[in-house]
Amino acid sequence: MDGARFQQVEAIFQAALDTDPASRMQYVAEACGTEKDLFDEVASLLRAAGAELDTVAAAIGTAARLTLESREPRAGDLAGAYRLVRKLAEGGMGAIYLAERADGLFAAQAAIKFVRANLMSTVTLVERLRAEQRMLAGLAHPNIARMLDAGVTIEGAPYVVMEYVDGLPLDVYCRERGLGARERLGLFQAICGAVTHAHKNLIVHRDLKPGNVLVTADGTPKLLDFGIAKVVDAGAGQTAGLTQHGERLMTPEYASPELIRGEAVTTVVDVFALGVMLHELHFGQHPFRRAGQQRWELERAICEEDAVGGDRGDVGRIAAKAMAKDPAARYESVLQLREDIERHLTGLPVTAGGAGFGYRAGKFLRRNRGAVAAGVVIAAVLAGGYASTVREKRRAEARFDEVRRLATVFLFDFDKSINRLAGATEARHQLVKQALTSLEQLARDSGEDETLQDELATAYGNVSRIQWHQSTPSLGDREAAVASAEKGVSIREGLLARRPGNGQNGVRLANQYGNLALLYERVNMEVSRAYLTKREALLVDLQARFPDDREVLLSAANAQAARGLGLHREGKLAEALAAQRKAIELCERITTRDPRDYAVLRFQGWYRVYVADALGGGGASTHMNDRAGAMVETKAGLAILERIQKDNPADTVAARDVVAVKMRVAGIHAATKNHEAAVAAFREVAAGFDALLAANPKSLESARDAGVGHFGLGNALLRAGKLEEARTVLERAEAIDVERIRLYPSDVQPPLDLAIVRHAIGDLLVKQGKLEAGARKLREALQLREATLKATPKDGALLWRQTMTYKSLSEALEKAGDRTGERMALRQALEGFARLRTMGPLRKEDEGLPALLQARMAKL
Amino acid sequence: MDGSLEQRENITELLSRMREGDGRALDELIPLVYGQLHAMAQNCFRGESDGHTLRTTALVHEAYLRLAGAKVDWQDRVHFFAVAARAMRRILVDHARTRKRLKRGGEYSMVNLDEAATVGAESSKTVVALDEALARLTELDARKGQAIELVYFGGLSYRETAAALQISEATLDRDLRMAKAWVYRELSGTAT
Repeated sequence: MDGARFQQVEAIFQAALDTDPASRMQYVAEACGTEKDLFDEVASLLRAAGAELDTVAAAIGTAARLTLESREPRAGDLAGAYRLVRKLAEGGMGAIYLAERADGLFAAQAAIKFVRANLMSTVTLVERLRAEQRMLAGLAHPNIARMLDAGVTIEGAPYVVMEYVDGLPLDVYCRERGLGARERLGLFQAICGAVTHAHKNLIVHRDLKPGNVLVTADGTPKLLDFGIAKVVDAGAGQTAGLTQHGERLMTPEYASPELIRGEAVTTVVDVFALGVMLHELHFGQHPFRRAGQQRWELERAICEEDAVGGDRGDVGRIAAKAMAKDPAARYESVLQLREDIERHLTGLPVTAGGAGFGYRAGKFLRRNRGAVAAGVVIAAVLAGGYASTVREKRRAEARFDEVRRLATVFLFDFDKSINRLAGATEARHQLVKQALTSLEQLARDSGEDETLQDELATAYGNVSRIQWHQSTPSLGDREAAVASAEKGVSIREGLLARRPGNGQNGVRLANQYGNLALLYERVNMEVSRAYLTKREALLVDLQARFPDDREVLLSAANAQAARGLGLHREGKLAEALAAQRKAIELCERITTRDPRDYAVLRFQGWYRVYVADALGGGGASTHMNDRAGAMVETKAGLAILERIQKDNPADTVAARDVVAVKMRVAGIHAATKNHEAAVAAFREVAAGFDALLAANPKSLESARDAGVGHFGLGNALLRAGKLEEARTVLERAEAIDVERIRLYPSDVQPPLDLAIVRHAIGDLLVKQGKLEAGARKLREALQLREATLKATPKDGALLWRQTMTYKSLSEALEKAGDRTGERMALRQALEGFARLRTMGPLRKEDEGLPALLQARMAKL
Repeated sequence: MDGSLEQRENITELLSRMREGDGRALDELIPLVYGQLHAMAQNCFRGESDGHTLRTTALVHEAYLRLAGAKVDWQDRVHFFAVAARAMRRILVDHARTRKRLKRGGEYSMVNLDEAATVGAESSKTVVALDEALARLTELDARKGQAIELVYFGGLSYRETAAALQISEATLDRDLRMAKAWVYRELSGTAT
């Protein structure tokens, strides 16, 4: 059944109900004629008519009651293979029970922790917890309690199964055993070791607190609940901004300011929590909690007020540094925190705030929020004291070489060579993981070496690109990409604060803000816009500081162009146009001075093309329909790009640019139905892409270009009525795509491109009366899309193409007199349209098609 | 989450953005409504012994009052109910699915079912079957699918349903007699 059939059935059904019951069935019989299926359909509906769906309403009521009156778990209840024995504790997220195997297969104890997460369905929550458990499976450490499984009880309560630890919470243990300062610090160091291990595996705890550390009778601390906070927080995060504060289920007592504010989370949230724990362990008092305080008061204290109850001794300063409001001012890693404790225990000076200066500086900074970056300067000056021996310097140089190789040559090139391969994902994950570990190490040892920090910031940017990128294959982990990019940004912000005169760093920072804005686009528009604003503010500052500087102007131009493309995507064409024109103007300020600045000229050329796209070019689907204006702008862009190519004959990118823009010209000719001109232009394009492919036969991009160019030419020839030549050209496009599939069997794009080409060839063959061959091509096209359609059933563009191919096939078979085949193809096409309708309104030119197909179906 | 002033302003703004055709407003509204319904439902159904009472209507109206307050115009209120119906459907079907999985035993559980769990099994089955039938109906005729959703999951009156769908009550009447017959037939075909 499809939408059209449904309408047909309904028409008869409604009319029948409006007729007198006595003659009702007679009416139906007449209306349906010889179509027995139709008659049965209507008759069955008439039998069901008038039912009040009482059972359905009752079922909803029962389901509602059963679903929503979910009962608290209690001893004796089953949770998967375990039976709850007794309650161990009541946590913020739910109760924790001691449990034992209920199936008697073997004797084993475990802790079952019930988990709540607002706004997340139970099934999703459990699935995410399980995913987390799989990720944590590799996290073996003697001080970390293992997460064994996740599931949901009969009553629908989601839970996590953890290794059972027979011990006391950290604070209780210290109190009951009467531990002294050194013993407490020893325990604390062991905890730091466990957290460091987790961080090396890129796992952040997010909810560290004394209650999540159990100490066994022999004095071994065990960390609980790794990974759970992340999953639970993810549910709360869905309401972005509106209710975030209230939604966080975890206690805020150990949460860092950025966690409370719902900002990006990095490993230093754990540094903050450890700082609070250290303060509490050492001074016996929580640094922010007061009696009778409301939750919001506590949160405000954490975000704005100084810790109370500490002192200016070593441990006080270490805890204060770990609890810095600004994440960048904290210890960069838990390892550094641990090492400072070690220094204190062995009588060495600690790195945290020497001689009280850092303390005072810290307070000054907190009062002067705008000057936060200056804190990095102070920290660096203080840390600089250590890295001055000859041996240290040599070490830094060796490290520097290592990171340069890693960050520029190895990491990115290697990734480029594997990122399109099937099964590369695991390798890329490993690559990123190792890179991050090294980068973190290097960042720690970078001291005041600014060149090294510049490289590090670039490397973090590259890692971020691998983790998530809009147009190249990435690992798709946007959250991680944000974290990396923000690390790079924070390094650059540090550099900027230290050397405001370093324009190169400023420009790179501006570009990195732009990347972050893209990373946050559609995820959190507010943050995205904030980064764009930061970028623009920085650029204004840079322009004032370096008027007419090439890098600054270019970065500003790129910023405008990127903003323009975003506006175009949002359909704000006039604003997009203005932004692109501004970008061109900025480029021109460089190129009028230096007409041979080819890099900038290239941008200038393409920005003209972007202007054309907004006006009415071949590169976009929404535009102002000003084809003539688009042609003028495209040709202006083309002239620039041609000049670049003429001056740089060996540059393949320049050569490709020229052909690509010529295809835009050809596209505008085609859109204005100037067939002869379109054919001539596409001929040049196809020849141009062919030449590029011949020069680099293994290049994936060149092959794709060549295929697209020939397809365009073939279509232009078709529209010009040159059928025979069109076929030769389309077959060349077909051969190119077949070769692409052979070379890159795991890339999903080539089969889809080939399907488009085969559809065109099929249509052409049918037009030429070669019905059998035509139908075969069309069927091949359908076949090529099957796998991707199954994988992405909501891809409307792809479904539309498939539907149009079914329509073509039905017409071919109609001509061939294959009625069974025609009926089958018609049915598929109609189903396709029905599904497209559920995704949105049909294209205007397609609106009449379903009815036409329906009519043909009826005739069969 | 109990309807602070700030939140009410948010809701009101989201509703008016939605009326103006801003699709993202709906995305922001659903989790809010979902959360509110979920939290309230827990209290509302506790101790309720009459399994045949359909309380969704009361819940939806209550959620509305808490989230939006009383001073929102009628059109926006109807839009809100439409969102609530969608959220309610998601909550109920999601849990019914979990229960069905439990009954099958495979994925989440390896224990024998006790009496209590079997009670809900039939209704869970019906709710899931209804959800699936509704999905099919929506593919064939989106407006009819929505009409059923509004009436049965949202507990909306005919007048409110007609307003939400922007059709006359007479048209709604005809839509519903077809949609109900269709759903009834689908369910009697698959439920047993």
